[in-house]
Amino acid sequence: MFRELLLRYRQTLVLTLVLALPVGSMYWHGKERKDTSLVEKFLLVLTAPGQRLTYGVVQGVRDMARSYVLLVDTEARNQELEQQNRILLGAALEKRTLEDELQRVKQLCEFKSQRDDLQTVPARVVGRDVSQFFQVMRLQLDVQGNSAVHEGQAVITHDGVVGRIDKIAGSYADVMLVTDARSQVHATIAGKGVIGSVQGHGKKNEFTVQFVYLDRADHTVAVQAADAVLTTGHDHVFPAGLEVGHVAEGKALQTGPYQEFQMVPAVTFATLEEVLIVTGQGGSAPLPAEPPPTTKGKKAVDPANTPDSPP
Amino acid sequence: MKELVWILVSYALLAIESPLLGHLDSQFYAPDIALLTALYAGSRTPMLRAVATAFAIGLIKDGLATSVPIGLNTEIAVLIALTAQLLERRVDLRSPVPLMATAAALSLLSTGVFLALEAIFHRSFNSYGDVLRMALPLALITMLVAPVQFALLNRVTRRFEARERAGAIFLRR
Repeated sequence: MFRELLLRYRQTLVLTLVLALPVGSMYWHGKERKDTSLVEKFLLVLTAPGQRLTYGVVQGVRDMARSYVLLVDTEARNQELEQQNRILLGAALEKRTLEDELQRVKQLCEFKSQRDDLQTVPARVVGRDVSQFFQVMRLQLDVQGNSAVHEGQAVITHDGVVGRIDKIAGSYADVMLVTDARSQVHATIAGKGVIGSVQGHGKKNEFTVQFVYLDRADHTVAVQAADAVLTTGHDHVFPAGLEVGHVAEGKALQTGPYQEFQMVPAVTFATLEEVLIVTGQGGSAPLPAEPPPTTKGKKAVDPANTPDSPP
Repeated sequence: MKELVWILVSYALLAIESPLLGHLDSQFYAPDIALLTALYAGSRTPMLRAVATAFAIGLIKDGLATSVPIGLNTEIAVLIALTAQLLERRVDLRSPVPLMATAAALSLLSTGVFLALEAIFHRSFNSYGDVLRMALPLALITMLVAPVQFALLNRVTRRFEARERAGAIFLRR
């Protein structure tokens, strides 16, 4: 009887199921949650290997294509030295790649030794966002199943703040970038004695973040373009003294008690290859003694003007 | 089983799409592969198989684009497959021009559904302007890719069916 009913209404049942399940999932996943759900874990495990593989293949093909173009050019210029040039160009290319990688690792190591108050683990970027509308950029990391890596931990580089771990499944972790609309970072404008919060826009290729601040200690000091914005550490996620970005324009988007400035992130997400995940912080996190990496006219960090200091 | 092949091909296309367009600096010209697969399945198979295929490919897309609530792309893919079932007898989806027009129209429709579902289920979503700006370019690029993807899926299906007829095992069951 039940079987007959099932067979009779099979189509209706299946249609109801395939339409209702996604709605239920959207309702469940649309809420603010800190933990990674079983479905998200399953999908990450399902899609991450494919993304990693294709990312590698595309990079390989690109490298091959570049080498080919170089070789054709060399052949046109000097037929006799083709073989020699081929070897030399290949070696040079390999050396340059290694140098680049070494440089990046060296910078990360230098940063790690400067900030010995932080416990960090390195991770490699294996994938990037594929959203049609690029509403929120994200990165996918290969964390090698490191048990010290947890959701909510800060992801940084020697250049500054990248974001935080959003989801973890197996060896892979998703990073919510500082430009994500859900992201908030407690920060200060270097040398201006103001504190506030950096909020992402989640916009496609603008990579802008806003700085909203409540209290300005010194009303005579104007916020200017290229002023560095640093983390305060008050959010207990990002260690103090890391650069989040710099102010894009001195003109406030919104005035009044809450002022907003457009910002440019310190890190170029499109070219990131290696990052550090902050797994712990020991002792007090100092602000860097040296000025932060500067762009045109960027101000140095003045520890006396950090938010905790008296005006 | 041919539906499984379509899903695998579409998964490969979706996985290739992001890094490939990234290297070509054309991220904003990504065609909606999942929509086209759902449309293909909806126009080529009975309803239950079509919606199951669309469900699977939508789920994969949800896995690749986790910045939206999981289920959103699945819901859109299933709706596209159902719409394709309705259109199957009215529109000749085997000819390029009707196919391209249908793909463009469904792409715009899917953007509408995307916005509606985001508004309902995704509180922190605030990029409505960006999505609306991208709707037309997305529809145009999806329209242009539609005949190519349909030809690819047709070819894969023909090969699969020929092997199946010959008794060869294409996929281990």
